[in-house]
Amino acid sequence: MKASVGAGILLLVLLLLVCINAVFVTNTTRSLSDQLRALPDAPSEECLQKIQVIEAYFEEKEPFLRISISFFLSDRVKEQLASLRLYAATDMVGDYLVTKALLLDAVEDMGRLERLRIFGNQS
Amino acid sequence: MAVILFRTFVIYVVLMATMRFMGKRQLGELELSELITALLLSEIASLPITNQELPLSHALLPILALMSLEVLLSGLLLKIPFLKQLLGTRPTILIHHGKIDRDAMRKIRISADELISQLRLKEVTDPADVAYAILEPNGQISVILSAASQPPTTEKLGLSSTETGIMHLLVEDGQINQKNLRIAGKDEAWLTDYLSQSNVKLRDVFLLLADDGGRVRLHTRKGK
Repeated sequence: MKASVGAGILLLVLLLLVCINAVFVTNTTRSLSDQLRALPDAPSEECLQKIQVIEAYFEEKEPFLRISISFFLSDRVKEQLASLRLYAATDMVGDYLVTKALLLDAVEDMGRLERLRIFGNQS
Repeated sequence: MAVILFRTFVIYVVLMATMRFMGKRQLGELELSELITALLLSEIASLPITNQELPLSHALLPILALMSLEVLLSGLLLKIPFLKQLLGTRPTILIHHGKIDRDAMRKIRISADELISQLRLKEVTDPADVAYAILEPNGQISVILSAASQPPTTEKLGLSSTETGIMHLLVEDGQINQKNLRIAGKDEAWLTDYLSQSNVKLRDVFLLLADDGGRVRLHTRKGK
């Protein structure tokens, strides 16, 4: 009986951890998406600064994201953020817009495993 | 390579703890839910070891969830009979007083060949000698012989016998096993006394065994 109670408690703890992680990942990806969507369609000095802010935000959250998100996905976002900054700095509009769209897609992918309606964070 | 080694170590420790928590039945006699859990565990455990893109949590979370579900479910099955009927498998009588139940065999899809083979493994050659043959939930067939076919016992023959139990390992390689010493109803004073009578030092003892009937067997390292 002790084992069953222990197992029940463990299951509840796991559920709680999964819920906390889901809320964290969903909020982070939503915030990243919002910041990316707010970027202007043409590269500029202001745009470059905003990208650097997004990069700093992602670097701050990345260690926690990597607990549950595939390293491939987080690396993809990191690389595309670097590319986006480069295209914004060199004023390559076409590549900048394509990379921005790809980045939005990659950020969406990061949150896909946690997108459950019961958490009320559906994007 | 270091990551693979680290992950293997973590998964090994978690699996060991999981299997230990699930109990000894998981090692040999598996029920349906246990078999499914064991199959899933082996698959999930290998994921982050072979695929470096996946975080450890992708294996740890399902392993711990499966373990807690399995233990919780087995606890609930004991407490709630309805669940036991719904999820548990029940024993099936295949032979009743020497008569083979063909309907039961058809229902669980076991052929006569398989049944006879199982009986032979239990050293029974004639189904007529069987009082009950029951397919247990773990997939094994237990065979209870009819009274006339059961081997004679000392009780049936009217003979007296002493209960000897099993041989307990009291000393191994000079190390005293305190738990077995207690189980065998002995203590260190008895051990010291026995060894001095046998003219053997504790460090020279390879094996010292004793059964419940009082028989003691001593094996020294020097083969004395």
